[in-house]
Amino acid sequence: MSVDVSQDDGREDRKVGVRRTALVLAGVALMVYAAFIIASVLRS
Amino acid sequence: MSTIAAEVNDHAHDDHGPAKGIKRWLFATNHKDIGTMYLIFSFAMFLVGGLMALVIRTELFQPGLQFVHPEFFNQMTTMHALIMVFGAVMPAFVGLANWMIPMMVGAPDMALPRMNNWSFWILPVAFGILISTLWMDGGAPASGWTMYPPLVLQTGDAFPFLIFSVHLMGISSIMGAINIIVTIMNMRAPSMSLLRMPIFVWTWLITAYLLIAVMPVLAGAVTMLLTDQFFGTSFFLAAGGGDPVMFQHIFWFFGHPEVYIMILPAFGVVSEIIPTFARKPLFGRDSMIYAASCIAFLSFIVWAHHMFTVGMPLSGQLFFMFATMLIAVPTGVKVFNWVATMWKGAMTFETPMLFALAFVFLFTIGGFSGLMLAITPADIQYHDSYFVVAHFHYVLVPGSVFAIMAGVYYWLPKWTGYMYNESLGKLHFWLSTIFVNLTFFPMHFLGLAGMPRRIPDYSTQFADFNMIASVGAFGFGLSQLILIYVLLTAKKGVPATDAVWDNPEGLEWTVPSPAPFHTFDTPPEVLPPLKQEQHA
Ligand code: HEM
Ligand SMILES: [Cu+2]
Repeated sequence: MSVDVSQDDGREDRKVGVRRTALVLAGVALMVYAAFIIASVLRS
Repeated sequence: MSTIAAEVNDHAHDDHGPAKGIKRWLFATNHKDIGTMYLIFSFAMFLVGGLMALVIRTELFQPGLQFVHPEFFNQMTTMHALIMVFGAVMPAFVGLANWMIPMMVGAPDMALPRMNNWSFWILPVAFGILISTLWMDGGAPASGWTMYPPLVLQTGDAFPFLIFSVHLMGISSIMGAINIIVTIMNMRAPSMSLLRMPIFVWTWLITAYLLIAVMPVLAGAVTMLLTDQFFGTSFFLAAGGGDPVMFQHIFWFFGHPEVYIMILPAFGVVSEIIPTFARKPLFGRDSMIYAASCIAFLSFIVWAHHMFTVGMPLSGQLFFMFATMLIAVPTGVKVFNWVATMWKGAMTFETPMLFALAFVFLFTIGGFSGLMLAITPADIQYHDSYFVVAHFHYVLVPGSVFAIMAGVYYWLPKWTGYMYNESLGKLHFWLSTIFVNLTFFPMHFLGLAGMPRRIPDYSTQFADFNMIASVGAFGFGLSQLILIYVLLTAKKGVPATDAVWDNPEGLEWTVPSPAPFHTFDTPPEVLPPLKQEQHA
C-alpha cells in the first residue's frame, strides 16, 4: 500500500495540524502551572 | 510508510466493528464507546455522591447530633462536593461531548483517540483513590472541597491521596479539553465554518479553553499544599512567613471559572433542545456565542467575591462586586434568547423539553441569589450561611444536572436506536422538579435567618425548614430510581427514526439511529441548511 497523492484529501495536513494544536495547548497548560508556582515562590 | 498509508486510505477502518468483551472498553478508542463510559461513570458517581448527601440530610433532619460523628459529617460534606463536581457533573458533560461533538461537526472521531482512552481511565483510578480515603487513619478529607489551609493540613493519612487524586482529575480534564479543542479546530467538515457550529459545540469549545486555563492553577495550588506539608515550604503557613489567604486567591482563581465550566455546556445543551421542541430556530444565535464568550472572560475577574469576608481594600470590594454583577448582562441575554425562541413557537413538552424549561426557570433563581451574594455588604451577612448553599445548589442541580438529564433524554434514542418510556420520563421530571425545590428552596430562608453551612447540628429555630429539606432530598434521591429504570429499559421501546424528533437541527440527526460505530468516515459534503436560513 502506498499513498495515492492524487487522492490526497488533506488528511495528512490534518494530522500535522492536530499534533501542532495539541502540543501548543499542552504547553500552555504547563506554563500556567509553572507560572503560578513561580509567582508564589517569589511572593513568599 | 505503511502505517501512514493504512491511515490515509482507511479501508481497513471502514468495516471493523468494536472489539469483543472487556477489551472493547479497556482499550476503547471509539468516541462513542468512551462517551458511554464517561456517562456511566458519571452516573455511578452521582449515586455515590447522592448517598453522601442523604447521610448529611439524615443528620440534619432534626436538631441535635443523632446519627454520625461531627468529624464524619465533615468528611461527608467534603467528599460529596468533590465527587459531585469532579466525578459527576464534569465527566457527564465530557461524556456528552465525546458522543456528540464528532457527530455534530462531521468528524470521524475525536482527534486524539488514544489520549481519549487515557483521559477516561484515569478517572476511575482517581476516584478509587479518593473514596478509599474513607477507610484510612484519620478518615477522608474533611476540610471542605475548597481545601483551605491550615485546616486541610490537619487531614490524616488521606492528605497525600487527596492531593494525588486531585492531580489525576486535573490531568484527565486537561487531556479531555485538549482533545475537544483539537477536534473542533482541526477535524470539522470543511464546509462547517466556526459560526455555523452547533451551540453545544461552541459552548464546549469555550469551556475547554477555560479548563486549560484554570486546571493547572488548581494543580499548582494543591502541589504547594503538598510541599507545605511534606517538604518544608511555607507558601501558605503564616509561621514560616507564608500567607494562607494567598491559597484562597489561587483556589478561587480556579474555582470561579470552574463553576462556569459546569454551566456553559449546560447552556449549550439547552440551546440545542429548546429550538427543536419550539420548532423555531434559536433566537439570536450569534449573540448566544458572544454571550458565552463574554461570560467566560468575566469569569476570570470575579474570583474574590468568594472572599469578601476575608478582608480586602475598598477598591477591591467594589471591583469584584461590579465585575460579578456584570455577568448578569450576558446571562440575561441568554435567558432572553431562550424565551424569545419559545415565543409563538409550536411547542410540545417531551421529557427533554420539560427538563430544559425547568432549567431556564430554576437556573435563573440561582442567578438571582448569586446577584444578591455579589453585593459586598450583603454578602458579608450571607457568607458561609445556608443562603450560599441554596444559591449554588440551584445553579448546579436544577441547573447543570437538569441540563445533563435533558441532554440524555434528548440524545438517548440516537444512542440506543429506541424511544425511551416517555410517561416514565415525564414522571421522573415532575418528581425531580417538585423534590428539588422542596430540598433547596427552604435553604434560602435558613440562610437568611442565620444558619451556618457545614455544621452537623443547629439551633431549634431552624428545625422545620431542615425537616422539609431532608424530606425533599430523600424524595429527589428516590425519584432517580425511575431514571435508572428508564435507562435499563431504554432498548425496549419502539424503534427511533433517524431524525428522532420533529425536524431537529444538526448533523447528528442525519446518521441512522442507533448511530453506527463509525460515522462520517468521509466528511459530509453538503451540510443541511440552518433553520435560520430555511426561514429567510
Ligand atoms: C449568575 C451569576 C452568578 C453570580 C452573580 C454568582 C455569585 C456568587 C457569589 C457572590 C458567591 C459567594 C458567596 C459566598 O460564599 O458568600 C457564589 C458562590 C458559589 N457559586 Fe455562584 N454565582 C453565579 C453563578 C453560579 C453558577 C452558574 C454556578 C455553578 C454552576 C455557581 C456556583 C457557585 C458555588 C459552587 C458557590 C459556593 C462555593 C463555595 O463556597 O463552596 N454560581 N456565587
Ligand atoms: Cu464565583
